[in-house]
Amino acid sequence: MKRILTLLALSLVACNKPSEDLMRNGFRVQIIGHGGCGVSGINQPLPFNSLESILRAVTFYNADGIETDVQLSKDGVLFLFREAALEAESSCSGCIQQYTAAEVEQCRFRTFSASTTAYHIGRLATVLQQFSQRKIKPLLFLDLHPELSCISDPLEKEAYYERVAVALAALLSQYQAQEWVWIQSSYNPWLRKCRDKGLQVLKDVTDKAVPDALPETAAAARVSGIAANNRYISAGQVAEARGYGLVVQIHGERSKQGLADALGKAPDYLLTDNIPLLQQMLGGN
Amino acid sequence: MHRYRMKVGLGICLLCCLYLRATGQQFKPLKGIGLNGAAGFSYTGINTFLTPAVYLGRHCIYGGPQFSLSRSYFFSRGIWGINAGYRYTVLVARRWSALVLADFQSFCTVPYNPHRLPVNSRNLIRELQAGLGLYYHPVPSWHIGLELGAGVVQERFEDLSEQKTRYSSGMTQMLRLSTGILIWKK
Repeated sequence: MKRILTLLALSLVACNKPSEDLMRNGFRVQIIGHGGCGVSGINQPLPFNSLESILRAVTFYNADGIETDVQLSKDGVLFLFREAALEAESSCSGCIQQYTAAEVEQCRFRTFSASTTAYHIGRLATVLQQFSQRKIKPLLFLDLHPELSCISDPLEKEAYYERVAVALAALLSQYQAQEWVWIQSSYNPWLRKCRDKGLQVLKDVTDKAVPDALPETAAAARVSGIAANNRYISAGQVAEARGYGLVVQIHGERSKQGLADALGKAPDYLLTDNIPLLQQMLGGN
Repeated sequence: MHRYRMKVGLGICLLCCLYLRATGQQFKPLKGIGLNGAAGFSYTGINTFLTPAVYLGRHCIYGGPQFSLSRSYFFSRGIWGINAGYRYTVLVARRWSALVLADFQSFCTVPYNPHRLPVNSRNLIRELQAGLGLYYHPVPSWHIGLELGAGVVQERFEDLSEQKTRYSSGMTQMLRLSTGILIWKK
């Protein structure tokens, strides 16, 4: 009986909101919507990375920010799209780099339940324009994926990375967005190009164990922070990175248990596919 | 996949109605006051319902509270709302009945406000659906069944940063498991 009561007490302790101690100290983990309101699903009808999903995350859910993926069209316009191949998530086929902006804008998103939707692939400039007019600027994390299925030549790839960095710097300057936009990538040379153009960059260590020395090397490399999958970063590494003045973004968790574990590590930013669930866990208002 | 399931569900309901039509026999539905309990999935996630109902033969009107169990729509747990509707029993055969329904659901809640900004109005979410139902009656005064619906949803919400009230609307579907009992028979 005593053992049962002990187990019950332990389970109640475990059920407490993990962020309560942090909240008491005035620290709040900021909620970042993954691709807007999250990956589309039964509870989330809007396509991932669509303008509609991104705007809903900040206007309806009042998320602190969003994370989205960026690619450059043939004529140098930045679009919000994740996959290297258009057919993976849209009605078009090929790669964004092969099409002009006018052609990309004709592509419609696909979701898990519909082969085409009414939602078109949107421009980054539209989001920046909308966000820049808001009184409280939402945070915007732009993920740059180095995988390019339609460009195989290494020199061409490097030229593409440079063009993206130049386009980002120009666009962020146009909307005075350098303060609230972060660039993140797993590819160091690309990050350096962005950093050298005055952009805030996060070193993304997706799907890899975070090396023990990463916070130190990241600080030395003059990146502003690190982004890591929750499975591969410890609470100690988060604290160490913060000690070096780096911000920490954690991603890769969908379940309530996983989000609770990530909250316990006290990152600055936590990516989620379910904004209301994370808000519930943070204790609502 | 969700839409596909809804289409299959509606198709099954229609087939059941046709089956009841083919084998059906007319009967006199009861009159009285009853209580419905239900759990269902719709735009706002999973909700539970406890609604008093007035049975007038083939007609039934109901209204009462609903309680959200959603972990994917509201930023806090335990939001209460209202549910009201009308059902018309189309066919009855043996212990089965088929019905059409119109259902209204509404929730009113404060917006998520971590920056403690002034809130001028509450968020209001309204769903209006038309649907089909299939009930099994172990005894004439008790039913258990399934309801499927499709309709529209409208959200009125406060964009706190901009201090503006915004609206959005769209299509929605409903799937609900329901039970009801006649408490007082006329």
